[in-house]
Amino acid sequence: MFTDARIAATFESLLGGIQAPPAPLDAIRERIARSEPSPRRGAPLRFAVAATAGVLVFIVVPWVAPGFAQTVKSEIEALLQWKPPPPAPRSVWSAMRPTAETLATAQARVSFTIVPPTGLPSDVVSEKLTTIAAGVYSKAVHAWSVGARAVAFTYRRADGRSFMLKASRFGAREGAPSKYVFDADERDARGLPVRHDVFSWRNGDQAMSAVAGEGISATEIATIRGAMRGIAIRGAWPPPKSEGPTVEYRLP
Amino acid sequence: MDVDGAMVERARLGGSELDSLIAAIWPEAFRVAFGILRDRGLAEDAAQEACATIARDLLALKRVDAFRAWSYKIVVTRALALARRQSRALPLEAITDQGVSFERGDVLDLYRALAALTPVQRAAVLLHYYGGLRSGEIAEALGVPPSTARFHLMLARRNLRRALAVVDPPTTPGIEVVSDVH
Repeated sequence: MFTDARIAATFESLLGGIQAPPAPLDAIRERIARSEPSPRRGAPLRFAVAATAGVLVFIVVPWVAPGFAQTVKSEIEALLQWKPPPPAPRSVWSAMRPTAETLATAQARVSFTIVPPTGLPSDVVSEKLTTIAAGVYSKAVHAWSVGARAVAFTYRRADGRSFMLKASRFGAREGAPSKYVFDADERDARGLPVRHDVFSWRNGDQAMSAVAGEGISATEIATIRGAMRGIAIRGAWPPPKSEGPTVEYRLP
Repeated sequence: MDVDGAMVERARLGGSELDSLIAAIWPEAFRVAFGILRDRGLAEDAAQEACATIARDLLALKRVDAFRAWSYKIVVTRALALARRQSRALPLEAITDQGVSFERGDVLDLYRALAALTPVQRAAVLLHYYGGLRSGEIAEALGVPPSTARFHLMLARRNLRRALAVVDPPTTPGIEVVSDVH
């Protein structure tokens, strides 16, 4: 009789005898591109463009289809009168996907000392910690490459909103953090992407940035920077209103 | 699947590491899909779709040690979705054209016995005997409650045993239940 063990062995023989065709990687890549999820509300697509010596750094959060990103980029081009680089190759886009991390694994991936955020609003819970590589376009050699990784701390608030604090290496070679970001889902009355201010501060060789407006206000960002004893790098920081035991900030 | 946790971790970075992972899981994905669908064209379609889903959702996988069961689930889901849309049943004569090798009689008997099962039952026994998954994992892969998965597995095993009994000399008179499945 066929025992369970014999059935299992026969299954091995049956399926092992099936000749699989070669892995159709190109066809699978096409399916991946076709099935790329659209950016969702609450996790908006954001662009940060920073011009430094000879390179353009182009960061997209979260991972999105290159075709979609290029479409949005053309609108930003019109807004900033900025000449965009050519589309990044697929290999660069693939490497730019966020990677889930623990603080220890994230530290192993970056070349700066991570100083985790403190002084967060009381209703905040940590949602995830990821590292994200930047795509770097060299204007000198006209080529894309994968740049250094940044660390993204994502938090969710009690009312469901979320926000992100991004930590990256601070140094002369990295250039100043971006001044603005553009939200692909958000348009003004003229249909143009809405510009958001970026606030940046540094602790040692770490530069941390936050975008005011979604999930966190400029005042709350200032409180975080104060608790971290960070040195302001960029942003129209709201000045403290009083020096009393409770520090208050005026909205910009 | 000949894939370890380190390979999955590296594949999360994308690029050539992701290609390597897909190339490693492809043969198994194809075979499992073929075991359910019994058609090379459909199996290739299901396996491609499953591999694309695995690549796209790899970052959402919380524990890399769960990769094997998770990827089986995706392959089975894609294959069953195709099976629901297709009602193609291959005649036995077409088996040789499907790239299946039958060097032993018992393998052919198993292949014929599987034809009598529903796609869900085939998926259940494939995951049990070939994938080595536990009933809870099979339930998750099939998207049904554990009790339903156990029921599918029980029916499938009973039908398989009945069908396969004919290859051995009958130990009791009246083993003609093979007529139930043909």
